[in-house]
Order: sequence, then C-alpha cells, then structure tokens
Amino acid sequence: MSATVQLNVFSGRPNPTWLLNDEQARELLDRVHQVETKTPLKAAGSVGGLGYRGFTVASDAKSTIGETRLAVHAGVVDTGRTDLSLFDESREIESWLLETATVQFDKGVREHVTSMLAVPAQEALRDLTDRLIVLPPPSKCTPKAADAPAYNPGLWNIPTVQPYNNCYNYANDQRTNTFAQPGRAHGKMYTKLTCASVQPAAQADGLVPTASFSTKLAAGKGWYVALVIWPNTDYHWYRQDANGCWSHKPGGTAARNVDNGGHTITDPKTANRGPYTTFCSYMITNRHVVIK
Amino acid sequence: MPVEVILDVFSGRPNPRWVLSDAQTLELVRRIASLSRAQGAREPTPPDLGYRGFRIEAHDVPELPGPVHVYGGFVRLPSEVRLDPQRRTERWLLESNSKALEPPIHELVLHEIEGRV
Repeated sequence: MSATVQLNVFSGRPNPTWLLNDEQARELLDRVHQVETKTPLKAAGSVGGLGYRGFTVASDAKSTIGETRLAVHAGVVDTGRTDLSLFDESREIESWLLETATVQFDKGVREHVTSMLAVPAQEALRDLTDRLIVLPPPSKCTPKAADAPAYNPGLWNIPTVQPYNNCYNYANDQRTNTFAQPGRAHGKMYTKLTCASVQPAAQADGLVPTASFSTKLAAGKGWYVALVIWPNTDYHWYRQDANGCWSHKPGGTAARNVDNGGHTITDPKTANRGPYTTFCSYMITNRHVVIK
Repeated sequence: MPVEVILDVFSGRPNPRWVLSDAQTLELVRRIASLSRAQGAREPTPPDLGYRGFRIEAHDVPELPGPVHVYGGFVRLPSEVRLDPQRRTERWLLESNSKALEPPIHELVLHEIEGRV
C-alpha cells in the first residue's frame, strides 16, 4: 500500500483512515500536478472547530510516490513545504479522495462531508477566514477555595503514581496508590453505579454535598469537587484547582485540565464529559478526608 | 505465555482485564503481523473519558516484546506502528471477552469502533 488518507471530521473519536494502493497514489499525484492555479494560503485543517476539516495524505520514502505530505481543504492543496499551495477550485481532489475510502462511514458523516464539498471553494475559504479572525473569548475561571490544590500534573503523571491513582484520588488530592474507591475506607463502598449509591459512599469518607461552587471557602474549609456518572457503568470526579479552573484524572491516565473536547473546564456541569452524562453533585472535600 | 488484555475505558472503577487463551494469542499475533506499517500517518489521541483503546501486556511472546496499544485503527508496537483501517483488531479484542463485558461497555466500544455518529 502506498499512502494513508485521513478524513478530518471528528472531534472526540478517531478520524476515519484508509490506505491508497499504488495506482490510486499515482492518480492522486497526477491530479495534483494538473492543478495550475497557485495560492499563498495553507490548508486550514484543524482550525475552525467541529465537522469537516479536509483530508491529510501521508506516505514515506518506500511508497510508490515517495515521501509525501498533503493537506487538502476548501480547494487548497497544501504540500506542506514553503512553496505556494495549489488551488483546486472545483474541489475535485477532495471529492475523489472521499470516493477512495475503503472504510464504512455512518450515513450522517458521508452526507455532512458531501454537503461541505458542495460549497464552492471561494465561499468555503471566506467562512474559514471569518472564523480565524473572530476568536472566541478566553474562558473565565474564578478562584474559590484557599485550600484548593494547585494544578500540577507533574505530581500525578509519573510512572510510580499515574497507573495506581484514579479520579477519586486526584479530586481529593491524595496519592494512596490504591485506585481509591468511594466509601471503601469506611466499609461503605458504593454498590451501584448511580448518584444515589456513589454520593453517600463519598460522604462516608467525609465529603460534603453542596448546591454550587459559588461560595468562597476560607482556609481550613477545603475545596470543591464534582461527581458525575456514566449511568450504571462508572463514576468520575473533577476538582476545582487554586486558579479556579477544574481538572481531572480519568482512571489510570494522565491528569489534565481540559475536557473531552479539549476545552478549559470552567464548570464540570457544562463540560464535555463523554459517556458520563449524569451530573450528580458538587461536593466539598478537605485534607482530613480519608480515602482508600 | 499469558497475554493480558486491558480495556482502557473507566475512570473510577478499575479497567476490565482478561487473559487470552493460547489459541487467541496465536490469532492475535497473526492478525497484527498481517497489518501494514502506518506510513507516516498520525495516530489519533484518545478522549479523556470513555473508550481509550486496548492495552496488551504479554510475557514470553517473542512477537509481542513489549506493551501494545490498539486504538483508532492503529496498533502501536514497541518499535513501530501498524495501520488497521477497518479496525478489525479492536473488534476482535472486544469480542475476545464479549460475554464477560457489561452490555453498556460493549455497546459503547462497538459504537466507537464502528464510527457511528
């Protein structure tokens, strides 16, 4: 196989990727070489947010077409070098790449991409340019708790800590290396993956439910955390850091301060939480809580 | 030659993990060997929450000399990355323990593998 094609369309899940055979790879190069119009624009690619964001094509030196890197979006064929890009105003190269796919697309995905490719290239470029100029305002986080831990992922994302401490460890800022479970330290571990079971288990450990995280917490009064549930399947915790933003540690993976969509978390209730669709409660924890 | 499969999917609970039989191990090795090299393609980054792929930890299997990570149509071996555009390896790994997996987990992972919107 000669080259890899990736359709950039998803946000939270992997993009569809497939291979071109030798004949297809050569045809792609032929199509590119037939484009005469040049442009100083680069393929916008990931800029612009959600939905269709073009194709990327890659091959290495052993390929029939040699080492190649192409990004194609809104008619712009970007070879990734300092040369000018090519402008495929008819968007035939993008349409052709879509037809080479050997993976199954959900009908909605194919319809979306097809509709995007039907937009004339000049119009598609104007839309992208508007989004580049008008940037979203920065997220606002307001510190609330004097005791809140600083966001310092280096304390958690090391081989001796990361695999052995989960979201509950992280929210409580305690590295027990036991993959702590709500209630286990006090013989009152949850029995179901529901708010009604996990929240009281956390209360048995010393956490206290609260309606919101709007009240300032003085020194000695702890910091805010939040409990969410993947219904009947799992739970997850977030914590509010000293800077007022929220962070989390999904299981044995790295601690981070962005949500499933890569955005700063100003409130777990409104964050992208993947399958953890149920928001249970804000709670307050502190340094005297015991977890295991 | 125990080969352990870990489904990286949970946050609070420990991840599901199971051991492959000898026959399953041979099948896994065969499947990975049949894949092409990824040719410079970029591996996707798993999401924070939800399905994040499979980890395979093998002991005394020469064809699997270190941890293997399978996600998003890519199989990352210690020394190289292979491409699995149809995501058949992930699907096979999921079915290698399908009877023991809770239905919501099986459904979520299958949904992700099939790329359903």
